[in-house]
Amino acid sequence: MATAAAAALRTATLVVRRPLITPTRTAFEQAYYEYHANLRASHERTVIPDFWTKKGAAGNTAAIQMAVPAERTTEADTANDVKSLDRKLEENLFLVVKEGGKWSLVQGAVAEGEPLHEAARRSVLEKCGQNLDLWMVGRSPIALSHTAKDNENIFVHKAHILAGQAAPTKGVSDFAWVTKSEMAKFLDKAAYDDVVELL
Amino acid sequence: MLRTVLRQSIRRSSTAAAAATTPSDAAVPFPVPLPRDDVSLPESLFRADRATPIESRMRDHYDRTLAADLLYLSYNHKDPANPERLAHDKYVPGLNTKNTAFKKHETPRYRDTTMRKPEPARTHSNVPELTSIVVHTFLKDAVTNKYVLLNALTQLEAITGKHPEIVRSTSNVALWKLRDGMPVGVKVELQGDDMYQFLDKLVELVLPRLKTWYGIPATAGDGTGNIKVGFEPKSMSYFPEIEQTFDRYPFMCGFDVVFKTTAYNDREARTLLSGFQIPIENAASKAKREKYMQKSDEVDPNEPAWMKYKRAREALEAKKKKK
Repeated sequence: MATAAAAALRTATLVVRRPLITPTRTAFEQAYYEYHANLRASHERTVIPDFWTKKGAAGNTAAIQMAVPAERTTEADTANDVKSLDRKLEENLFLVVKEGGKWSLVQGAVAEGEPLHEAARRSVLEKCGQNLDLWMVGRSPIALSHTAKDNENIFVHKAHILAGQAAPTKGVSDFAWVTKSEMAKFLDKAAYDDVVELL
Repeated sequence: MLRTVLRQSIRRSSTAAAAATTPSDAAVPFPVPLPRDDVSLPESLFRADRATPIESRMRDHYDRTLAADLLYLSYNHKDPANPERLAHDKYVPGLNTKNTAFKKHETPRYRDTTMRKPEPARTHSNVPELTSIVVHTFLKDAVTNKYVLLNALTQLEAITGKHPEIVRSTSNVALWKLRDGMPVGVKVELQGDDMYQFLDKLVELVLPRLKTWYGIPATAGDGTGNIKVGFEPKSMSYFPEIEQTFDRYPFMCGFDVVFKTTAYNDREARTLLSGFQIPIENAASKAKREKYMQKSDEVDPNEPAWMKYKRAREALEAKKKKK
């Protein structure tokens, strides 16, 4: 870690799209839940319809329309479109950007007297466009980067993307939304080891 | 098996009868004891006192997303090894009275932490968690007629899936004809996946349909991490179980929902509930909402005459009420 006197402050932001569907259950898990559902159903209190409805009354005989859930894999999954936010719905997706030929988290400088979390948010919006609805997880950073140069301290902040999509500008040549396992293919070893515990 | 035994016993008895001179010499006693084995009747594996494991998306959301975020939001960066209440969570009389999170009636003794053991520090394995939800109904009419509680019992059982228990009075108030031990309420405590199922129904189906409720107040909470929300009787009919069979119930009951958590203070508890998509309302959000809904006192010059007379009449009535 750099000395306080000569260090420049920088922020890196881990922008996350949280899982949108429940995780895939294993065969054992499915059997387990099915067993308990059957066990509970066999002990349920029965309702005697004749007690509640008069003879000859129509009663509520309309069949309940069950909603049909959507497919768990989307078009983005089959096409393996790493820019899409609809890919890998049951996993976390993290934003990585390509700046100066190198993939990393979205980084930015901190202005004089600016709070860290505000600098983090501002740098993401500047570099990835204004069409992002972000929620910063608190004001405190979640990590201090170990791969920073001697004269700078990089604090990592976590943010959730609630809506929108990245549109790279200002020196950012490319972006991707990747899962934890895919992150190693984009980041170099040092950068990946720095960040892997946060994913 | 039984037939063989009986045949053997008959043969034995017949041969014994031929040989024996007295009935006591019969080899096998009557009635014939059935062969015993070590297998007993199967016990029911269903435990009504425990929550049934069920796929719960609220639990998945907490485990995969909320728990990590709550750690970041509740971690004490100042000195995690020696946990001390953070300045903005501590009540110091005369000093931070402007903090609107504290209720005005709080006395120093309510918030005195000198004699209290410090709580364990927040870590990856100790984050604020929802431990149970208590759904409770109190019926004043039960004092005169205890059978109205049957209605509340069936309604709570329908919405929660668990059989509730009767709550009895612990005090005597002659004015209300209340005596100690009288059944006056109904409650059911939900834990585990049952709790998350109920929370899911509440958040997705009931809360959005409430017309005059916009969120848990920012001053809510008992100070130790539990929050209670009250619902009027109409809210009961928004549950799908009640809505489908509305005619079976003589009347709807109002109820409270108590969220019991492992949060250390009101702030952590509200953050946790907010993570489950329960809105929290403070003065700023209320002002923003009212501005959005444009509640203004401006008079429209082209308003019809009946509106003008209505406003005039309402102003007069308000004046009379003030007096």
